[in-house]
Parts: sequence; structure tokens; C-alpha cells
Amino acid sequence: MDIAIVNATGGGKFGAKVDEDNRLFTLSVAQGQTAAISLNKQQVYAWETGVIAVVGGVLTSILWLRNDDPSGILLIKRIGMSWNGGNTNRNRTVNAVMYVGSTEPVANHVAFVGGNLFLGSSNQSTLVKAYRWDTVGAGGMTHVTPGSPGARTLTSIGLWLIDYDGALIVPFGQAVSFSGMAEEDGKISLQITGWMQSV
Amino acid sequence: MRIEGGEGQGREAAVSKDLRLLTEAIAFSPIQMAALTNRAYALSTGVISITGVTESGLLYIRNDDPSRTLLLPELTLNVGKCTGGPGDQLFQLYYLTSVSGGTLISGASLASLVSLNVGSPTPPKVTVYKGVYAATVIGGVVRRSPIIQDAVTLQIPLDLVMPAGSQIAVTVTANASTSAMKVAVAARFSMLDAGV
Repeated sequence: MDIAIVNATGGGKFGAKVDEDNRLFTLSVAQGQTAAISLNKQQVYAWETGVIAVVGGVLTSILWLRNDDPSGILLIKRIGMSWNGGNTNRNRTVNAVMYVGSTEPVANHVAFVGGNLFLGSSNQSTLVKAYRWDTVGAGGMTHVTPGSPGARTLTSIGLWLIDYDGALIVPFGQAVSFSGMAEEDGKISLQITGWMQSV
Repeated sequence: MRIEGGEGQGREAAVSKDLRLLTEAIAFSPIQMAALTNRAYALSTGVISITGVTESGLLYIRNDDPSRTLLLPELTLNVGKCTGGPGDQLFQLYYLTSVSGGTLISGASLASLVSLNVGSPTPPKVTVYKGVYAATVIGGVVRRSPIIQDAVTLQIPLDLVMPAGSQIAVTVTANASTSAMKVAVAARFSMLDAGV
């Protein structure tokens, strides 16, 4: 049985209005996708490097993610990067680069699992393979192929947030990595927030 | 039963070619709707004086309501001018899996907590403590490590969902040689029926 919703303005106390453009008038609570997915599916995660010391003038790969879920896509909500401005001057910059298609690191890396933003949830982001720099050496993780630069930002002291709102999509088998080249020795932390969605 | 598009037939709601019902919506934000139902709150530590470089517990939050989930979309960090040392401070957010101790919790100094629906008589079943310089946080896992410059107010998105019993703590570590700095942490949160 098909139901057509018909304008009821003037035709009843509780009839829904439909305007001349055929739009049904509604009143809704618009919940953000991140909160909705976290509440309903407990599948919003954050991958973070922790605070790490980097050497000035050296391009340093600090975080790598790959979507290993053949039935899902990884949607990046937000990238947050902190930089202390350099240990000496506090007013130096870091050139942060996101690479697309970088290969799995082969040295100076440590595997980890993203944290679930629904505290206490048993869901784990095991289908997103994640590595961060183990802080051995001075150049970050070693990749056979670094990939192609996908985005760059020149960042001064403080916390910088880039909100993709789920529009940065990592399909099955694809990888992204994040590197920084600081003007002088300093401290960085990087965090990626995102969720999995079935295709 | 299905809803069928009625475009072209007078005042019938339309369904587009990509199968979406066309609507003209007034959208309420979740925090506004929560405030309308007396379930939205604001908390603040007030100003805390940091007088050295020891990590200091600033804020502790625990959801004590077995029937409601606490939604914490963001934290607001207020950092004053830093004297005596470099102007960058490390804030850390801990996810605590148990009440492990530390003076931030044992000190039990209540942070301010008010309803966003001003005058609402119903307090939430939530514990919020504020810290002092060198208040300790024992246990837990560091999940966020933002580095903040001094003399700034910054909102940090968290998107945290905290079911009953879950708890977090926020600390700050001033940089080397810091002799004085003032900080305050504030947040808005809402309580949602568990399972919704």
C-alpha cells in the first residue's frame, strides 16, 4: 500500500504542512554523525601518537593508517596536530604533510590500536592497521614508498584542528601517513579521529 | 506500506529522484534539546594557579547515573600568560578504567556545575572535581595530548560518550622553568537515556 503525505494546513489541528514546493515541514534534532555513530554503533576511534620529540630539519613519518576492512570505508572526521614551536625559540614552524598511498613501514615502527570514543566499549579498531613511530633514530618510520603528498600545512605553536567531517575517505586497502619537518628540534603530537562505515 | 512522492499533484510531499523525502526542517541541536528537557549542564574548575612544572590534575569527571549516558562534545581550555619559562603547555586527557587514586580524586574539591536550563532543580548524577597545582592522577591511559600555547582560550573537540561508571581526568604540565600560570577548564555536557 502506498502512502502519500498530503498537506493538512487548515484541514485539522495536527495535520502536517506541505508547502508549494512539496516539502513536508518537520522539526528535528540534528545530531552529528560522530556522536550518532559512537552512540549507536560504538565505532568511532581516535589514533594518537602521544607526545614525541622530533629533530629539526628532518622529515619524520610519525603515523600510518590502512583500512583492512573489505566491507567498510574509513571516514576521517578530524586531524589534530600539536607543536610546541621548537624547544629553543617557541616560534618556529613545522611543515606537516599527509601522504596517500604510503607503504607499510618496515622499520622504526610500533603497532597500536585506536581508542574507542565510547568509553568502556569492547569494540576495537582492529580492521584499521595502525603504526606510529617508535622514536628510534631521527627520521621516523621507514617506508619503502613514501606515497604522494595529499595535503600540507605550515603550523606554528599550539593545537591545530583540520575538520574533514567524514569527507576524507580511506577505502579498503588504501593507506595514509602523516609526517612533519620541523624548523628546529621540538615536540609534536598528532591525533586522527574517524569511524568505519559499511559499503 | 511506503511513502510515495506526490510532486505534481498539489500539496503532497515530494520524494526526489534519489528517493529522499523532501522536508523543510527546523533543526534543534542536541545540546539545546537537552537543555529544554533539563539534561544539559556546564561545569568549570574556576581559575587554578600553576606554580611549577609538575603535572597537575585539573578536572575529574565521572558518570554516576546507571540510566543515562554522558555526552561530552568538547573541553574549553583557558590558559593565562606563562611567566618564567617557555609559553607552551602540555594538556593530557586520561581515560580512567578504575578509580585508582591520586589527590585529584581524594581531594574531592567540587568543580562548579550548573544546569543550562537556569534554575532547574535537578542536578545530574555526575561527579566533577577540580584540582590544584601538583594534584596527582594515578592510573588510566593517556588518550589525548594537545600542546597549547599560553594566553589563549581554545575549544578542543572530544566527541566522548561516557556510559555509567566511566571517568576521565585532565592534567596540565607547564614547560621547563615556568614559575606562574593560571588555567581553567570548562565544558558543556548532556545526559541521554542509556540505550537511546
